[in-house]
Amino acid sequence: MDFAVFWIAAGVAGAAAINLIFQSKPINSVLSLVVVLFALAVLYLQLSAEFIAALQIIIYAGAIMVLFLFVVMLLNLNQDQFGSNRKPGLRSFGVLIGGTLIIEISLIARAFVSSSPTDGQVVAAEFGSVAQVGRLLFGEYLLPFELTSILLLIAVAGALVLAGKREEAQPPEERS
Amino acid sequence: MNLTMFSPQLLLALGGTLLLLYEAFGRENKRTLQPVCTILVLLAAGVLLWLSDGQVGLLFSGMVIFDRFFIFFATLVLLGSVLAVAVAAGSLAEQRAYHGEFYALVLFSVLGMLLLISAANLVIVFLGMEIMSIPLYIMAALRRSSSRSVEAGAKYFLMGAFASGFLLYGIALVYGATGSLRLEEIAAAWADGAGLSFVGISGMLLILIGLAFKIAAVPFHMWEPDAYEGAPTAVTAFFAAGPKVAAFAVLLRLIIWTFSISDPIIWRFVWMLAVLSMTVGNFLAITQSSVKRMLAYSGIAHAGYALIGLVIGGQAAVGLIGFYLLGYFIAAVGAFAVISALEGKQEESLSFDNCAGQGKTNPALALALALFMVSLAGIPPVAGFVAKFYIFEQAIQHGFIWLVIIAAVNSIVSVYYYLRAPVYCFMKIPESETPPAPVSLGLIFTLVFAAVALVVIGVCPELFIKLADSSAMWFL
Repeated sequence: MDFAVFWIAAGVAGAAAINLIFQSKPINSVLSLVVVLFALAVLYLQLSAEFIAALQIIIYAGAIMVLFLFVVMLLNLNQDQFGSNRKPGLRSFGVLIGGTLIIEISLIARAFVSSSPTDGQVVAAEFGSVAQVGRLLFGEYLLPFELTSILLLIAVAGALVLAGKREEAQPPEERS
Repeated sequence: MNLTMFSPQLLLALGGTLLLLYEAFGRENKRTLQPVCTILVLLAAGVLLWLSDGQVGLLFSGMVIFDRFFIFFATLVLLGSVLAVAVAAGSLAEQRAYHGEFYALVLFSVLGMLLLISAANLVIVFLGMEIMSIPLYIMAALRRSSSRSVEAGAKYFLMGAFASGFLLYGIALVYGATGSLRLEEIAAAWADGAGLSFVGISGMLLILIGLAFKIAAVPFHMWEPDAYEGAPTAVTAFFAAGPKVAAFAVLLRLIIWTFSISDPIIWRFVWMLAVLSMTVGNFLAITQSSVKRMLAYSGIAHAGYALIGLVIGGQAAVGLIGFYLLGYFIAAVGAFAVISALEGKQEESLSFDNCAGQGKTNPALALALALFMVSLAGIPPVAGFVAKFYIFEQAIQHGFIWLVIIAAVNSIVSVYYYLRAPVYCFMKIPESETPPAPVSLGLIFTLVFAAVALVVIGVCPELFIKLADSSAMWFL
């Protein structure tokens, strides 16, 4: 049963990811990404990380993808804005590089399956629960947690600098 | 847990946040007070660092480490940032790139660098890298009216995001292979061979690629010339001072301490990076007509020289690279400071032709530029020579004759383009009169400090070499 669920979810995730790249309209790509994120949530569930799976759906598939949709709709992007200046040789070169990467990753994956140190380990009953994630987040990972908030602050300040009102860039005399 | 050992980072985070608020709500004298406050915070962080000298420890359940290595490299970063901010205070508004948030971003970026240097966990390596880099992307695009500056920011951001992807994937693979994110546990897994699977080595190489982007080693250097040229020159000075030192520090901690350079794959990888960076950097620098772009390629070549220290390996590498970076970044910041003054209000970046006749109109600036170029080229008696000599000598002692031959040939080639700027300044007759360059107080401070430091280090290097060597005192 587990096995079947894993392969279905993994297959859906992979197929949606490939569909994402081949879509010509950005809006379709965004919707495929939602499918990828949902399929990943199923995989998290299988790893007994229920809380992360819920977060994945609420935050990624929900909130962030809505933002993506907003941006795509606001910018009103079309296919002809992307495909026009593509060089013909570039596509085959990209396929070559991408193919090499796929072979490399599958080699790594095979090595991983054969040498996985955690084969057959059973996790504790409360693994992945909200309580335990919370304890980790505010215990061992307190510093990274707090630093992430600084990172977000920087991103907000940066967005304001780059997209905010333009009078700041004037020479000093012109400012009151 | 003793929080005093984390106080420099806390102070920087607090200072950055307060400066953001000050920018939003402050009214008068913002333009003079902001740089002063920034420099004071940076200096105070340096004092806090050295107050805890002699202590070692892991903090926040093994997330960050405090040791002599951290103190030394953090001091380099803080010093470089002070020099760059002093230049920025006068020249940002001049170049129509003034944004009050710049100073807060500097503090946040330095916070990221300190986190990188003190990281004892791969999560902190990643977060530190992002906290350091995101302000850099923004700073590169500060001159919003110039399309080159915006291009610099966009390019830097895209390449940086790409590098972060490599780093993160590498971290994930190393975690998969060793079952831990802590550097000490990874080192243990590495030592007993448990981590040396195909997965572990792939992960480690991906991490190294991510870091090679940050030190701009060939073939991961594409972003640097554009980012250096497009960014306002004071910002370029900051790029040369801080991020490189921090990236080298984390590279040292990972390679020497965690992954051990003796592994043949890593060794070959680093050797290749060193040779490619030196050669490609130097030969591309020759063809440049913009002084800033030339210095960007020279920065790539210098990363290659410093990587020789890593090829030598062992604890000696820490002192070698620390001392080399000390000599490099002071000269680079000084050179960019002169360029920013010579550019004045001009939109285009300074070309060699613009240098003509500067020896007459701005003799002090031209002389300073000559001194910095001489140091970068590695001609005695300034710091650049001692640093290069020291690294080459150690490499010969360890039997890397070929590497030293390649490096020496490169050094000789580099003299040509380094001396081109001073030659243009003093010997070429300008086509039109050059105006005297605007000189601010901060600029004078940076130039005098850099010039004196280079000569002092060049004349009595023992003290500084000892200091750099002492930074190899590890926590373990």
